[in-house]
Amino acid sequence: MKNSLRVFGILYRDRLPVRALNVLLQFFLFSIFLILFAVFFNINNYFLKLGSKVTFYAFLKNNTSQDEVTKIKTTIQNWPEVNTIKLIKPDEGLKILKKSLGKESDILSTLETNPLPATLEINIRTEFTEKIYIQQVSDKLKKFSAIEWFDTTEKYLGNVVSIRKILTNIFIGGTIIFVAIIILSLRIMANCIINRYQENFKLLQMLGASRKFIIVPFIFEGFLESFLTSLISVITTNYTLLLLKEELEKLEVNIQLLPLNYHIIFVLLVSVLGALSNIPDRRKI
Amino acid sequence: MVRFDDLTYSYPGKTSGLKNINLSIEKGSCVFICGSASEYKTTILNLIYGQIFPSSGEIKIFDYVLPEDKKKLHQIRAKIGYAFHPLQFFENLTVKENLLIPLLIRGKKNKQDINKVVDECIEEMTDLNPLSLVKTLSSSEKQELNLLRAFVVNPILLLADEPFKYLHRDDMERWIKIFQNKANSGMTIIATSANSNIPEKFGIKFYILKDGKLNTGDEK
Repeated sequence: MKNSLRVFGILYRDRLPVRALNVLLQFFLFSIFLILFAVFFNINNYFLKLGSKVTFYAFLKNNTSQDEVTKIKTTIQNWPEVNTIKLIKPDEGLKILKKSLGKESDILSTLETNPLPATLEINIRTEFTEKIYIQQVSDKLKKFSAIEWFDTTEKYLGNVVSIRKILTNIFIGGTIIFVAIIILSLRIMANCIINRYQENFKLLQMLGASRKFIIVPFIFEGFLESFLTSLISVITTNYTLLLLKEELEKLEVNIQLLPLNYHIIFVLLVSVLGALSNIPDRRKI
Repeated sequence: MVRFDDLTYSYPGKTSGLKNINLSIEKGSCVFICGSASEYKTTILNLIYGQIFPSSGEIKIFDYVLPEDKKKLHQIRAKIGYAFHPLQFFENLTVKENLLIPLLIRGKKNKQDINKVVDECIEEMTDLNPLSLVKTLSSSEKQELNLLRAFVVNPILLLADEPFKYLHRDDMERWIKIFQNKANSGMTIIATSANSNIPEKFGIKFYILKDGKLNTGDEK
C-alpha cells in the first residue's frame, strides 16, 4: 500500500487543481444537504410535538361559582389521563383572542360585554392521546353539569399525521436525489482524473503493476477527500446553525441542531461513497 | 528457463501467425530472435510476458506454465524486466522517477536503497542525467532509458524488443557488452532484432523467424 501511494504521489501530482475543485463542489453539496436535513429535522420535530399534544377546552356555564370551578379542577387533575389543567378566565381569554387577532382585534371593541366564558384548558398526557382514552375523557367531562360544552384538538391530529407523512416522503425523495447527485458528481470528477491518466495505467500494468496496486490509492484518496470535506461541512453548517439558533432564541423561536450520531453516520456514509466513486472503471484498468 | 512446446498463435481474425514453435532457452544465455517487420518477433516476447496467450501449445517459464498459471502472472512478471517497443514512458517525469516506479511496483520498500540502486544503475550503464525530464530526451536517450528500466529491477529474465533501434553504433556496442556481461552473471536475455547481422557479428546465439516458423541462425 505504501509503495502504491508513493507511485501515485509521483505520477499524479498534477491532479491537485482538479482535486481542489472537487473538494469545493463536495463542500457545497454536503453543506446544502446538511442545512436541508436540519430544516426537515426541525419541521418534523415540530409536527411530532404537535401530534403528541391533545388539549381539551371545557367551556363553563356563566353562573358557575368559584368553589364549583375549584372542585371540578381538582377532580379532573386527579384523572390519570390529565397532565395539566388551567383555568382561563373570560378576561384572560379575551386578551389571548385579541393577541391572536392582531390588527383585526378592533372588531372586538364594538362588543359591550365580554362574550367569552371561563374555560378549563386540559392537557392530556402524551401516552393517553389514542382515540380510546380521548373518548374516556370526553365521557367523563359530559357528566359535569357545570360544563356547557367542550372541544378537543384531537380532530386536528389526522391532518398533522398526513402533513408529516407528506414531509417524510418529500424528505426521502429529496435524500435519494441528493445522494444520486453526490455520487454522480463524485464519479464525474473522479473520471476527469482517471481519463487523463488512462495511458499511465496501461504502462503501469506493462511494468507489472496489478489492478489493486493502481486502484488502492484512488480509493484511499476518495475516502480521505470525502471524509475531510464532509467533516468541514458538518463543522461549518453546525456553527452557522448555532449562530442562527442564538438569534432565533431572542425571537423566542427554538430550533434544534442535528444530533451527533446523525453527523457520524453522514460523515462515514459520504466517505464510503467517496471511496467507491473513485474506483476506476474495469474497462479502463 | 523458457520453453515453447509446439506453440501456435494467431491474432483474432487472422490466419497467419506463429506456427508450431519449439524453443528452449537456458538460464544465463543471451538469445536474439531476428526477422523482418511483421514476423511476430514482439508476439514471442509478449507471449513470454503473458500479455497474450497461445492459441495452442504452452510456454514453460521458471516453474510456471502458461496459459495454465494465468492467475500467477503477477509473480511471473515480478521476475522479468521488459524493454518495450514502441517506447513508452511517463513523459512528464524525470529519468530517475521513471526508474523508481518499476522498483516500487515490485515492492522494494527502503527509500535509500531504491535511490542507491537507481543512481548506481544510471551511472554504471549510461550518461543520462537522472533529473532530465523524459520529454526532453532524444530517441537514443529514450532507448537507453528503456533498457535501463528493464535492468534496474535486476530481473532473472530480461526481454528486449528491438533494443538497439535508435542507438548510435558506439552505444549499441556498449549495450551488447552489457548484455553479454549480465548473461555471464546468470541473467537470461531474450532480445529481438530486425537485423541478424548484429548478433552474428558479436557471436550471440540467434533464431530467425520467417513465415511464422522459427529456425536457428545456422539454418539461415
